[in-house]
Amino acid sequence: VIDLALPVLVQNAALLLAVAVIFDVVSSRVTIDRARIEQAMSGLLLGVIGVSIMLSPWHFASGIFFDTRTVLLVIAGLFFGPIPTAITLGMMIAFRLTQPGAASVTGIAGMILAAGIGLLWRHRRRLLEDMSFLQLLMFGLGAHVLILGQTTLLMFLTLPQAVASAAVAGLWLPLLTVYPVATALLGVLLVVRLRARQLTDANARLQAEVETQLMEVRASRARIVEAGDLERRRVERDLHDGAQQRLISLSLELRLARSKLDEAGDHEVRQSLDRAAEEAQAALVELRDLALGIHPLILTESGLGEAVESLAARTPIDVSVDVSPGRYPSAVEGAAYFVISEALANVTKYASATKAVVRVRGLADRIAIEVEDDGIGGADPRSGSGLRGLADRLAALDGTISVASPIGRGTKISAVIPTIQPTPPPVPTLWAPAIPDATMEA
Amino acid sequence: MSTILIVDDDPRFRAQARDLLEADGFMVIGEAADGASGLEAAQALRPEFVLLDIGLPDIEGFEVATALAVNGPPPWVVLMSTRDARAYGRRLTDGHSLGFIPKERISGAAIRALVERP
Repeated sequence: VIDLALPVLVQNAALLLAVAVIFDVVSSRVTIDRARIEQAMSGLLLGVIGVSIMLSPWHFASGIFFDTRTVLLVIAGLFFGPIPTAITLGMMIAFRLTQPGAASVTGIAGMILAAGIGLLWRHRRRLLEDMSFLQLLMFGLGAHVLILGQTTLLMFLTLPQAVASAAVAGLWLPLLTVYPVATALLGVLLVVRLRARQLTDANARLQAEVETQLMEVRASRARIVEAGDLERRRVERDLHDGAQQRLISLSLELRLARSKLDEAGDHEVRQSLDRAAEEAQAALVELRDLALGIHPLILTESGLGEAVESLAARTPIDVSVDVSPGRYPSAVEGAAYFVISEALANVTKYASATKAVVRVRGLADRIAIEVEDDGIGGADPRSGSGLRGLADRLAALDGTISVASPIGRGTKISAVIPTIQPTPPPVPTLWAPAIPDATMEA
Repeated sequence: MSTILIVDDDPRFRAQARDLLEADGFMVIGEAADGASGLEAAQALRPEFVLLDIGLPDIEGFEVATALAVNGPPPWVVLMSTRDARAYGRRLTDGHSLGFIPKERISGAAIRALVERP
């Protein structure tokens, strides 16, 4: 009988490991986002494994049998924490009670001790994922030395001395060899799994972080464009309230002086005043051109349609304008306006075109802009800084611009600008895994 | 002699415009510094012309022009601005005004040219 103990318990340990591997493969494909439920599930599954290995034990005598349940319980305590271990232990004790026998007290005490050692070690040792095979082996050996001691003591107290000594004689070798190795193997499996899970979690965290940062960057880019627009408007208003006003006053003053001089009639002074008035007028025209280039008031006051019509009227070639009515966020209108303005300026300068068409279509969530001419084509979007600057400005609004310019067949600039600006999504909640540190803090 | 009311928030500009218009044969019968007092003055003085700044501190010139058109026999409204016509586009021609003159071109001749425009 004693000779049979070692191979049967090796088989039992192998069964434990096989079931654990199956359990690991299955459970690694299932993610449960509630820590408590996951812990309960782990406990139940471990309990099922425990019962399954208790079904094929080494039968020493009626009511006295041995299996690798303590291996499972020390590992459960060490890697899964109090709640799953308590559930597992409960299930295994309940099963043991359905098979009463002389050694049931000893068996149950052994299970409790095993689970306790596992939990105690978990409490002392925090970095489970760093445990090596050797450390796990020593842990398994230490645990089973204690379990062997307790079992021996209890068997001598509860069983006839001959039975107890025979059982211990059969038990001590597997308990101090097979069991520690099985503990180490099962532990390695869980260390690997723990590392994988931490990697997955770290990945998920990183991804969430990257997404959040991306949203922040996009939002801040949009804010920068918005701030630039506000600044342009402020500069335009300052020019209007300041320099333009003063130049007008100067012009009027010069004209007044000129009209008073008519009676006195010094020819040279009159000529000088006329020249001064012309200069003031020219300065005013330049300043207005500048202000218009910085920010066209008509855009904010009357919208894209009228602003583009006014732009077309100033373009020296024939421009037909087809803009669907509607107002959009000011950054969008500003970007659209400057795309069209730059495109028309390029048409005038380079395209040798006779006419151009501007189309703006307002769609549900974006506007589509097209500026097409009948010129010589062959425009290279990379050569001009104007278009590149526009591309940056559009990109800040998640818009795009493209240029099609086949030689001899005109140029078509197309741009799309989203009219609904992105809002950051709610921060995703990461589920707290049951195996790593979360339960150890409790 | 044609009577005219000047509505503009800049007192220096009003004085200069008054001098220029009077030299050109207009009779400036009043001045106002904002839209509300401009409307009151127009009601009380009944000028033939109102020289009206678009960028007033309280009500926009376009709205003042509309209000002037509905209260009794309307005066000729001449809109003016520090900016030029490009800043306003179609709003200059859609409303109730005789026309638009950039401020530095204000003169009796310019106003008469708007009246005589076909």
